[in-house]
Amino acid sequence: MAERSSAFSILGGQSAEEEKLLLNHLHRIGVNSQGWYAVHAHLSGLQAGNKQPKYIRIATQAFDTVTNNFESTLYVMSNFDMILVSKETPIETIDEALSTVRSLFSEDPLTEGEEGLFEDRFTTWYDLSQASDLTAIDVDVKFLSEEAERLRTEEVEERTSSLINQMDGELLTARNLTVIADKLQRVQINGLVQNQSAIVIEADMNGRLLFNEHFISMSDLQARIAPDTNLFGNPWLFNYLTELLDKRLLTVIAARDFSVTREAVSLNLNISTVLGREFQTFHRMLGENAKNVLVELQMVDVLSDLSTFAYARDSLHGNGYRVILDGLNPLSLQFFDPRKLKADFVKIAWGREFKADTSQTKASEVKEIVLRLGKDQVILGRVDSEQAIKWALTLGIHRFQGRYIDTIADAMYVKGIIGDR
Amino acid sequence: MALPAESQTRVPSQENLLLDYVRRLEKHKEGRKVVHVHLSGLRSFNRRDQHIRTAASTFEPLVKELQGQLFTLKNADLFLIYKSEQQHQVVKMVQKVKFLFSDDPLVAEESENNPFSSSYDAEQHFDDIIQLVQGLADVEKVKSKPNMRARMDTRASLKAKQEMGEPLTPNVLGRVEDALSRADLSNLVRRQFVCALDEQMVPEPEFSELFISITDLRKTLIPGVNLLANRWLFQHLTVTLDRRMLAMLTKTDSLTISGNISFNINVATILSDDFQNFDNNITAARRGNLILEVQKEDIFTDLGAFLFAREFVQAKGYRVCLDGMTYEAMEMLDRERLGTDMVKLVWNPEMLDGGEEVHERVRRLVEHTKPENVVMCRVDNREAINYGQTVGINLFQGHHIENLIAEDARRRELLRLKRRIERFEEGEEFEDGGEEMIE
Repeated sequence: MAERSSAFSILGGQSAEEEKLLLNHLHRIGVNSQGWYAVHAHLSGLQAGNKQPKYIRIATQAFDTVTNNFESTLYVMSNFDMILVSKETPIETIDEALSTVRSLFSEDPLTEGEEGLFEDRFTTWYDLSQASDLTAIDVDVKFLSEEAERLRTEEVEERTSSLINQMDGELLTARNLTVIADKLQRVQINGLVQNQSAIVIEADMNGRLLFNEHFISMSDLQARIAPDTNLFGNPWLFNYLTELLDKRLLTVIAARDFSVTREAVSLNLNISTVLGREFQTFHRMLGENAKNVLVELQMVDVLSDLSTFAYARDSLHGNGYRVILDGLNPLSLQFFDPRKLKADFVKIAWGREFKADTSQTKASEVKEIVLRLGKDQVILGRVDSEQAIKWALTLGIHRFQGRYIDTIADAMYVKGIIGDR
Repeated sequence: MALPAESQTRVPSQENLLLDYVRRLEKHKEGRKVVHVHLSGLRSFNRRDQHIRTAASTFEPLVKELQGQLFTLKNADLFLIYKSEQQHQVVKMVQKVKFLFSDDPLVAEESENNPFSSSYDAEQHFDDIIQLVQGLADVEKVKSKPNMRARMDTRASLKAKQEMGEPLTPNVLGRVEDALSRADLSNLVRRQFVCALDEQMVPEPEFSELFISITDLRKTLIPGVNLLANRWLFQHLTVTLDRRMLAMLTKTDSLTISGNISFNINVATILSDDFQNFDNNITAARRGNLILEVQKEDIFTDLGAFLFAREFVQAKGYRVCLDGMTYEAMEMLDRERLGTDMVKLVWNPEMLDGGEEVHERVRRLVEHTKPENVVMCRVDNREAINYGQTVGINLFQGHHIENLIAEDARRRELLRLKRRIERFEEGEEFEDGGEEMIE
């Protein structure tokens, strides 16, 4: 295991070492290629969420039997592709290993389609005793090697584009959380509150504002109070932070004059916050305007205690608020049915599963879920392209939010279709 | 309110008072009549307290003149026992009440099978009346339990708060983690059996769960801190506990474990090097004896990670159990698709109080999941077992099961002693330690 862990520390595009080793191996085979063959598993085609070093490392174990018992070597490329080079190894043992890897990623569109089909997107086989195949793989690996070099140089830039879950810095621990929580109580939060519009596209294709979600920008917050810590690295401790943030956010929002803005506002809150004292204070200050406030609750929070959720939802409804279920995606919708939760809206994050290049079964499954939910209940979030909107409109979804929507909403503001934020 | 129905406190309940009253009536049933007004059939918006109070007050004159006795039941039904000479008066009063609710389907759609009120002659129908009243009291007895339980629970949680101390903060959590990484936790490991029960309630162990006792951990390591006060911080702490548990399970000599074992684990831990090490250090055959228990909120924190991890460990031979489920959660989640081998349903008296509709739902869930894959856990009393068995559950875990195991062991021990004595009396040779007590 120790041997392997050093080999895998290079996973993730830090070095083209494995590619070079493989090229050397291929050149040696070229001298006497009888009985040699190679299998290229295109794991680079996995969805981003599945392309994680820890997953790939576990997946390589599937080949342990093959590499321990036969003349076979496994190379893991910087882009997560795996290439197994074997001599006179029974094909069945390799099939078995590949099928294990497939099943590990069984929810990923990459592994769909039957094994052994001609247009199998998952694997490519090379008979290295054939000069043409040997050349073909040599070219492929050289390309991968170049790509690895390029990845390495680009990596620095990529890292700075602080995407969620990829923020830089050391992990959040109980230790640094103490300091961060303390700073959080004191930091001026007003400047960190941002908003994003959700809109309804009406039958005449005109847009109407549904609500403005107000939230605290985590990347800004990180830059302000914890530049060296990745706040997203630990889901449980991150959730703890959000509980603290909720209270600060409520204070900021409650201070706003709701009587002058007619537009609805949504807030992402923990259920514990909704049931807490701060929310009662917030509600008192809001008074009649509760009808203009939507509360977004996270699915994980909801699932962790359904009866507390039901209680919170009923008390929100009783006080005039509307409730949005947030944190859903096409994948999670395949595992449970949110209708029973009786929320006003369900926010589903736009993802690859929705896109045209996915297989028919997956796409139709998603369609079915949306229809089952009721199209007027669904808000499609994280919308990043016009394509997303077009696709969703064909399903009857009319409610949207996301970066692409921001530009539409901005235009709507400019034209005066919707009022001030 | 001058009404006896209102002036009496709820303990003892109106139902019980009514039952008591009717029993006494037996000797005085002559010249008495009874009317039962089925206000429980009203739509909920018509069945608010003020509505029922108004309806009850209609009969107030009778009660004041000692011509009748009124009982307002929990389900809003009114029960009036009155002297026959007031019959005319009572018919008018019932009409008046009926008029109050004339817009309700109970009145609008009144039929023979669904009457607004039913009248009885105490002398002629005494048996029917007592049966009816007994039934009402029985139903109420079952229903009143949750209230009492809720009160006790609040009290218990207040007590727990006092006993458990200050809520966990990140700062304390950091110290706890440090302490945990150094401390020897093997003496805090507890074992609880999951058992099948036969008709005589004799437990037959299927597997046992190993866990680190949080109560004892708190007592020995960090007195005065409530580790459970914030669930996110606690969840984070469980990741540290996972690692310690894996380390202890790897060193088999520190924990002598036999049979099928289950333990809690976070999805993130399954994907960590700690689990890799653990897995490398146990024999392939042992994996088939191990059940990994995963919490539902952990699964949905990163569903992709869970699906990957589940596939990974199942391919190696481990079994996966979905822990901490309620029946509502079971209904909502597609367990089959999640691909877990087992489900743990947490016992909650609310299931019992939910009535036949909930029982049926739970029964269907158990049937669908297959009884051999469902464990009812946190079983604290006989009631839980009775309930579980009526909905088709065979496997149980909890304090009460531990008691049954101890009881069974005592019984066997006594039996063994008895046999020994018998043999001794028969003059056979006394065998020492020939038989072992069965665990």
